[in-house]
This record gives sequence, C-alpha cells and structure tokens, in this order.
Amino acid sequence: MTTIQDELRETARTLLAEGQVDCVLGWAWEEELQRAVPCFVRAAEDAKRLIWDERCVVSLAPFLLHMKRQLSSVRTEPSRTAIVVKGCDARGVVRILRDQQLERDEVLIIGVVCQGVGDPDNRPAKCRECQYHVPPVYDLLLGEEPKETQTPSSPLLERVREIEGWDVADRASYWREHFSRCLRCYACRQVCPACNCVECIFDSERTRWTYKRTTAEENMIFHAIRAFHVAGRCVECGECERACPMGIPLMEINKKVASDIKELFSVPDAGVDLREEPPLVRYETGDLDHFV
Amino acid sequence: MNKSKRDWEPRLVGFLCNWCSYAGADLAGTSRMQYPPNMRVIRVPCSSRVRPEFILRALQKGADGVLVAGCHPGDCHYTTGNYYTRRRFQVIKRLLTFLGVDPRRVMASWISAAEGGKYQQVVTEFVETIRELGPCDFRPTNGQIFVPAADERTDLGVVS
Amino acid sequence: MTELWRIKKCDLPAWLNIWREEYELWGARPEGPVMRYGPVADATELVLQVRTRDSAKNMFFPATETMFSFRHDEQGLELNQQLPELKARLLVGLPSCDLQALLVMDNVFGGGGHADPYYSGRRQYTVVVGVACEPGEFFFCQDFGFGPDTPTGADLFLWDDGSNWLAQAFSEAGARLLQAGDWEKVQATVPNRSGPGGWVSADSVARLRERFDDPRWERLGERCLGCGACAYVCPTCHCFDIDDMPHGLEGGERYRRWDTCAFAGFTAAAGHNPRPDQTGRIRQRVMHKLVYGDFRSDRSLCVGCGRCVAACPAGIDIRAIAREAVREKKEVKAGA
Repeated sequence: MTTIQDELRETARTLLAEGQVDCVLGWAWEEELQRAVPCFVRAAEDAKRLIWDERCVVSLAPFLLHMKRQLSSVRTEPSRTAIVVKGCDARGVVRILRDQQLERDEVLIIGVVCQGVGDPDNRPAKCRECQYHVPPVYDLLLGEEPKETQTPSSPLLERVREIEGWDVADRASYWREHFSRCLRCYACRQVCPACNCVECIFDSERTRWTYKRTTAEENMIFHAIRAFHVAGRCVECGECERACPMGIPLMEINKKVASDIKELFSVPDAGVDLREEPPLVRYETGDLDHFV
Repeated sequence: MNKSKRDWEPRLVGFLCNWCSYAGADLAGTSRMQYPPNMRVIRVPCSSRVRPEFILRALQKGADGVLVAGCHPGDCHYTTGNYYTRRRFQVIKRLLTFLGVDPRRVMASWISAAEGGKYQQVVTEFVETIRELGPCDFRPTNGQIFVPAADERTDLGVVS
Repeated sequence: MTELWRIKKCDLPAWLNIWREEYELWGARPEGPVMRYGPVADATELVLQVRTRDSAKNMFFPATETMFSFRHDEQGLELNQQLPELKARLLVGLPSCDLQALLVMDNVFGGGGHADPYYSGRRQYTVVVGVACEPGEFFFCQDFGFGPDTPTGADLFLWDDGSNWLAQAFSEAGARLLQAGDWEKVQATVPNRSGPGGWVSADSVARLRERFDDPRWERLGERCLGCGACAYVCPTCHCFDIDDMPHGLEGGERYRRWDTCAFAGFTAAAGHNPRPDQTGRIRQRVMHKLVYGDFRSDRSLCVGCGRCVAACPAGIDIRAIAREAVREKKEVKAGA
C-alpha cells in the first residue's frame, strides 16, 4: 500500500528533478532528538529523507517565510519553494501570502490530509478541535479526503469561557503569575506566521512606549499587544504555546480574541481563504455600537 | 495602594480626536461647564490613532482610567477612521478584561464638536466610576521602580 | 573538609529547614507547568534531581534589573544606584552542569579584578548545595570533562546513595551547614559515574574553528528563527543590553536586561548591522558556546546541560552541530 509518505517523497523528487521548485520544505526525523524537524530538501535524491506521520508537529509555515527572507538577503533571482502543510499549517501559509510577505507563485503548497499529530493519547488542543483535516488551500493534495466531518467541541474555548467566568481580580493574578515567568525570548513571536512584521514594534529603537523589561506588567503589555496585533489574523496553529520555554498558555489568549472577533463581526476562521480581508482592517457601517 | 481612598484622586487619560471630541471639550470649557479636573487630555488626529499600546502604557504609568473619544460614526474627518476604532476598541477592551483589567477603566465615546454637554457628562460619570473603583493596581509592584532618594516626591506617573 | 557524611534522605528537609532563619531557601520547584529555581517557604517543597526548564542564572543575573534611577530638575542631576538587597540564600539542588556554569559566570562578572556589584553581591551571599543528577534527555556533560557526580563549584555536594545522601563540604560555609545535624561519618568512595557524551570533542571544536565560512552554516541560518529561547534557558549566556525607562519628564531608571546574539538587533548600531543574517547569528552563538569560550579561564562556555536543545522550537541541536563538524560531507544532514 502506498502511504502518504511514499507519495510525498515521490512528489518531492519529481518536483525537484523537473526543476519545478528549488526546495521542498518538509519534515525529517531526527533520531537523537526524537523529534521531527524542518528539513529543506534541495536535491531530488534527498527527497527520501522526508517523512509524514503524526510526529510532524512543528508547523513549517514560519520557516518558509524565514527562509525566503534569509535568501532574499543573499540572492535576488526569484525562487519557488514547495512546502508540506497540514490543515493548520496551510492556514499559516495563507496568512503569510495574504499579508503579502510572499508572492503566490513563490510557493507551491503540498497539502497532506491529517488526522491529528503528537501523542495519540494526548493530542495538542488544536488537534482535538480540528476542523481542517484537509488543508483549506493547496496546490497538490496527498491522502484521501475523509468522508464525513463533524464539528468537534473545543476544549480550549471551554477553558476561555471558564476564565471569563472568574472574578476580574482572579484573572489578573492568574495572568500575572504566568506573565511573571516570561523571559522575553520572543520564541512565540518568531514562530508565529501572523507575526510577520519586518521590524517588530518591540524591537524598534524609535517607539518609546514598549519596553523589553521582564516585569510582570511589561510582559503583560507585551502579550496583550502581541495578541492584539495578530487579532483577526491568528490562525490558531498553537505554535506560540508550543515554542514557549516557560509554558505560558498563550493560546488561551489567542482563542479568546479569535472567538470574540467571530462573535462580534461574524467572520470565518482566519487563514482559510487567500482573498480574506482581516476583520480589523475593514469595517461595516452597521457594526455594533452599544459599547460607546 | 498605599494611599487611602480619601486622599486619592482618580487620574484619567483622555485620548480625544482633534476634529470632534477635542473641540467638544473646548466647547465645554468656553461654555463654562463644570466638570471634574481629573482628566488629562491627549489630542490625537483621529481616534483610530490610538494604538492599544497607548491605553496599556497609560494604565501602567499611573492612569486609573482611559477614555478614547472620537467623532460619531459617519462624521469622521478622515471619513472612516472611527469605524476602525469601533472594531478595534471592542476587541482590545474584551482582551484587557480577559487579562484582568476592570472593563470600567477603559471606555470609548463619540463626542462631536457641538457636544460640550456630552463631554461634561462623560467625564463626570467616568471620574465617578473610577472613584468608586479605586486606584488601578496595574502598576509596577516589585519595588524595581524609581526609589526617590531624599524627599518624598512620588508623583512619577503621568506628567501633570 | 574531606570527611564524608551520611544523611538519610528523609532527614534532609528538616535539616535544611533549620537554616531558614539564617538563609532564604532556594531550589527547584514547579512554577505553573514548568520547573524553575526560586524561593521556597519549606524545604519539603524542593524538588531534587530534576532538570529545571531554565538555569539558576536568573538568581544572580536577573532577566531585568534596575541599575540606578535618575532625576533631573532645577537643582541638577541626581543619581541613585540601586544595588540588590542582599539576603543570605541557600540554593539547594544544583546539578554539576549548573555548578560549572556558575564558575563560568563568576569569571564573566567577577573575573579580571572587575567585579560586577549586582552579580557579585548576590553570589557572595549565596551558599550552594549541589546534588548529583540523574542524567536525562539531551545531556552531554561528559564532553566537557565532568559528569553527574562532579562536585566542583559547590559549597556542599550530595551524592545519591540509595536511601541516603553522601555529603561532603567544599567550603567553610558548606562545612558549617553540616554542623546542624548529627550525621554519621562514613568511609566510602563517592560515586563517580560518567555522564552522557560523545558529541563535542577537541577535534570537533578544532574543526568548527576552521569552518567559519562553511556553507553548512547557511543551512542552519535558514532554520534558526531568531528567538532567544536557547540563550535565555542557557546557564552561561550572559549578554545584556542597557536601556532607560523614563518616568515622566524629569527622571527615570536605567536597567539592564538579557539580550542574545540570536536576535536581529543584537549587533545593530548607528543604523548598520554588521551581522545582517541569521546565518551569522546562529554561527556566533554556536561558536561562542563551543569554540571561543571564556578567554580568561580557557573554560568552555557550554556545560552540556542540553536545555537549549530541549527549548529550540526549530529542533536545532548544538550537539549534532559539533558532531556534524567532523564529518566531511558537504551537505548538512537534517538536524545538524
């Protein structure tokens, strides 16, 4: 039986051999690390290193943007990269394309049908509520589309509702506790496909209303501003929370904002349509006005 | 929160749009309307100029409440600025509430250049709300902030 | 101080608690979902033989600290240095790699006759109890000449001996701690297990040194996303930046905070960045850890704790980079 992995290797080999792409960005298994890591395949004979299975947790979308920016500093001729995406990662690629950080023809999207990644008994929250087993956007699709899809419940959203039910002082101390651990390594920002500003406001030498101090208040400001800057654009891939070395539950914040935006402005999920207009960069004259 | 509520005066920051709300505040003044002097006004070209950073920074620097005020929808000097404000403000307010900031400390209002009375009313009510809430505790508490050396000047928050 | 004492494991918390009057007790304990070093109210809260998510450097060299505050008015400029409040601390549970890292940091902040008052003050007031570790994922201490039982750097070290700890003091302060208990003096040889290793060697370091221009760095540069997770969990990364925080128009404070060569802005100055891409940045970090070392003590800046390997969101493995350096293959393997 041909597996998706076999198909993927063959597809990658063909794409590279025919010169359709310069590079295939996929996953490779790193034995000593016991982790699937991003792998940039540039030669057809190396396509056999690619893997696809539930160990492929990492989203490759931020690596696509990072790689292209790296290359653009040394190379000028256009290049086309194929990227392997799960449903959630595809939304990250849409984010990058929609934010005009890459041209559509610079990217060839190889979608894989995904039934969840990570430990089967302890899937990441995003997998437990996944509605995108099939990538919403792709050029090539590997795997069978599942027959029936049901909308699963969202444990993360339930958690958000639970926090919303707390007293405001309890919420403040809950987040103070979490934010006091933040070291400002900016891993959350660097792995975020929506955090694609060429220069982040927190890195800017000119603005004087953001600081890199790690007090709980400054960290709260950082995380609040980051959540707001990706509001309506966050594709809920969960990479920020995965990358955080201090275990801050960042997706609780992102989920809160995403669910608010859906409720307030009746918009679809972010990153499922290449023509989408993020809800905070447009308006309706009939938007709710009751808060004023 | 060392100071008792009695000798504490609320300090508010108001981001007022140049074309409507600031003019509305002016009108309140020239009409000799009385309202509490607790609001420090920062004039901005448009309510949509107010980044969430501004609101957070104001709260952290010692403001007990923040008002964002602009033209009524449809009246924006730049045609559409306040429509964006409207969307953004709802999101940021809910986000801050989620993160533990009392929602009553952050408010928005549409105040036109003709509405001196509304300005008076909004500020009066806002000051009263904040007075009941007490000082905002979203401030540095870890003792790492400026330690006055000789005298007892502690007014290190918003420039007065 | 060469005596070896046997302490029953169950007696350890009560003994440490005796010292609470004199010392603040610090050690590993859970902070939310992660293990970190921090103060504890009672020694029973301490978790021993666990790998903390980040290192103990935060205790001596906090991620952010105010150096001085300033105020300017008609009377002139007023500066007010803010040295840390010095409290005697008993830090319990450092594994050998974190002890080695402390020696590195001591050299950085206290070597060459120029002591950093912020770091040194805290360090001098801290008594360190090391504990032999249970090597786990990603450790490679043996490559740096020590193992899980190496006590170097501790005031007092505890070796695991089943239901007992074998304790030996290495300083006056450490010996004094032992006096609080009625321990049995034993004649024994302390364990001396070798740790995990086999990645970094003199050969790989020499090759790395030669290969500043190796094209393989570019392969790493496109994978390194430029966050500071590796450096901020590292026990020896010690770079910091200095910035001002204004308070109103008349004053403010000057603080320092961690910084890292992995950040794009780290080398930017006056509108120019001499290290313009991530290739140069990840190379700098790897080279600084493994090759450049500490020029004052000839000590490696990497101590093999493996925290950066665990923390990297891109799965970059410094061990594999060292191992890869001795391979002749032109193309880099995944993960190297």
